[in-house]
Amino acid sequence: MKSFKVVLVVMAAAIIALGTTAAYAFHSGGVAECTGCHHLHDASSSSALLAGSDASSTCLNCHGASGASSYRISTPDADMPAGTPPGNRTPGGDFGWVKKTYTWSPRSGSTSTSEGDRHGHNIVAADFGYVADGTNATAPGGDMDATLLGCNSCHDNHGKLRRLSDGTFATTGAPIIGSGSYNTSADPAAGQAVGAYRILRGNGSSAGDGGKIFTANFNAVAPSTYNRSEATTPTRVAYGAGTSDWCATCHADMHSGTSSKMTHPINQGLGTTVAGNYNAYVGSGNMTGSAATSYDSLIPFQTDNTTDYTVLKANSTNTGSVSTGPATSDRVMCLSCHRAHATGWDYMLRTNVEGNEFIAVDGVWPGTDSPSTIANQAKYAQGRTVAETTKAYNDTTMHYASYQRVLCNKCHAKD
Amino acid sequence: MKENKIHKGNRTLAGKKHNCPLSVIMYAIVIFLFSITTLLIPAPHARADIGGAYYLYNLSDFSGSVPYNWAGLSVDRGQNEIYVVYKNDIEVFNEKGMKIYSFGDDEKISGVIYDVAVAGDGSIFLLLHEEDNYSVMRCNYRGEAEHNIKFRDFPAEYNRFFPARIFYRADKLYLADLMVSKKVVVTDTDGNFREGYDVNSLFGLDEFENKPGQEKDIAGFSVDHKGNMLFTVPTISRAFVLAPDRSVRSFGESGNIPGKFSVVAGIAADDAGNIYIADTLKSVVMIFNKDFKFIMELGYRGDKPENLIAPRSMVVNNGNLYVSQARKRGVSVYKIVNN
Repeated sequence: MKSFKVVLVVMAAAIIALGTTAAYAFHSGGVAECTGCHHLHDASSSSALLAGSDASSTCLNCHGASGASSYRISTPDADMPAGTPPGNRTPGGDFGWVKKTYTWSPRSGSTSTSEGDRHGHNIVAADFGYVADGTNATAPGGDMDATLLGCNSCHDNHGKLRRLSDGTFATTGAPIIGSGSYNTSADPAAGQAVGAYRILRGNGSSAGDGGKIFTANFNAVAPSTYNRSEATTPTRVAYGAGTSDWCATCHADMHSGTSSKMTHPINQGLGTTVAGNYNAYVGSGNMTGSAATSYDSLIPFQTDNTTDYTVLKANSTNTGSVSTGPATSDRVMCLSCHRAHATGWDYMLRTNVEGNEFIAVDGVWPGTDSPSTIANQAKYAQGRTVAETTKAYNDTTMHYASYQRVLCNKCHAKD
Repeated sequence: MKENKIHKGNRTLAGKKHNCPLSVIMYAIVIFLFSITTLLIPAPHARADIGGAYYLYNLSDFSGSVPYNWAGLSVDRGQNEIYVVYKNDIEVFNEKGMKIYSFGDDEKISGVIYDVAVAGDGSIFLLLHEEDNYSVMRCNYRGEAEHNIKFRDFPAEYNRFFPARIFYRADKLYLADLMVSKKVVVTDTDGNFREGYDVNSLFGLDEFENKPGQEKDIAGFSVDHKGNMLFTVPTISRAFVLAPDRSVRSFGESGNIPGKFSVVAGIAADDAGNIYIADTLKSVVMIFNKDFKFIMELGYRGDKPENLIAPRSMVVNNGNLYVSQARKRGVSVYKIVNN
């Protein structure tokens, strides 16, 4: 009886404490408030008592709301009528792009199309109109069922993976004290841990939707403000070891380390030639740049193979204070060319590579409504308005050459 | 229980023959005492003014329910017409829920239509976003563009202001920046600055614990007929009521039992002061009385017509509640029933 009373007192204390808890960032690097996603007695989905129709719909109740904000990664349909781009400019990109299909006539009698499906990861979120990839039945370069792709295929919704004070990752061993994603995140002291970058799954995490088990950890640090225009200064995410191997979990046959096909090298040092090109490249026909100022957030690179979060934090900024280009030991990664969520371009590339050799003409980004009679030509505009083209480059000012060729040349300098 | 008594009382009165002056006086006394008693008894939740709500229909055109996803909503209170903002169109529905008009393709309307407000004289104000600029276009009652409002005399602290909502009340325009500066500016209909409210400061939002990545975005905003401004801030599970005299009241606790906040979004008030709050995650609309006492909730996630899926924007007008939701389920209309 006495123990029963003690239990009651503890329960009451817990209830009081929960009722008066100050507000926190929802995930805080680890598991969030249970009742934020699960309903214990009146759930909508039989799967895990979720509050949404499916896991991704549950996520998008918060992350898919109107207005650009740090945690928003999907613009509602109502906010992006024809000619208007999705509004978020996070490093991963806005999933709204997968709902944007562009059609244009590059020359008389022919039609080109940039399908929305090709613009990003086609997560399935029924409540928000996101459906499975209409082209690929499985993950490109892999065998994961495309109909199972959801936010939690990559992110651990429970955020169990943590970075311990000694730098190792584990799913237990110390409490998570907060997010480990930002250049302002606290460093875990002995007996503490911080959440894995973006609560991504990693070595030791259980499988999410799609059933894939990750064996690599994704090391990275972002500036604490990152859903922002890059017109003035770039948003520099510092990527560290494991980024490409992590992607290879689902796309093994697209990774040079695991594919028998001829495929672009990945997770390899840039070497003298490529690093030299990157640092010297300013725009088509202009190789007068220097390593001190050559960083371009449209073509980011991995910092060597580092897992040192002091180094990553120092490289992560949105102020332009760190503009240095790559050293020869820095690496090309999947995210050098692609964004993780979606982009305005085919194959979720960071820049336009398809359809035309020029990404900018007449000194401006092209668009159907451009005042330039060259930049508004269909073959350059490719069905997009100036606002859409500009937003697809995260509002980056067109600072390249007046007739700028594709940005493969940032590393390869063939123009 | 109270409702039964009223019915009984009415039936008794209706059945009696009022042929004796004394009887009439007695019944008058009974009615008087009953009325006084009714007024003085503290109203528990179930006995507040609102007694229930039932689903009426979805906003429709001649091909059926219009499959909006999270459409924006506004109301012309003079005509009892509902304005739906969706993908750069404004679609107007009559009180019966039928689409009667649409506009938005006027060449003079430049940018994305973010919100709409309708004045008492039928003038329509469109809040437009174009890249990182905003403007307000005044249109006539047909939605034909007349001229851009020239905003004047904004204090310097309102320079960094990017409104996402516009409301019209009593010859004033309320412009609310919910994301960037978290400020509200009140102007006359010619754009002259009248009042400014620094919501961040008034609500003490900065005093709530701040962690990297945490945003205290305001999700819901509306203005009631008394000029009180209503807000929801989902990340701290609070709703705020800001009076014109700058006094602030707030309520709300996180949780998913009835009356608690999961992910709150749209907020609105009826003329009696009852407050309606949409909860996107719980898929309900909660109703509180003017003293913030929870009365009831409606909707619940499901596929039935009366259910809701991820509700967001709301307006209340003339006893009807209009709720926009996800999954292309359009705008559901409920009748609010008073006791």
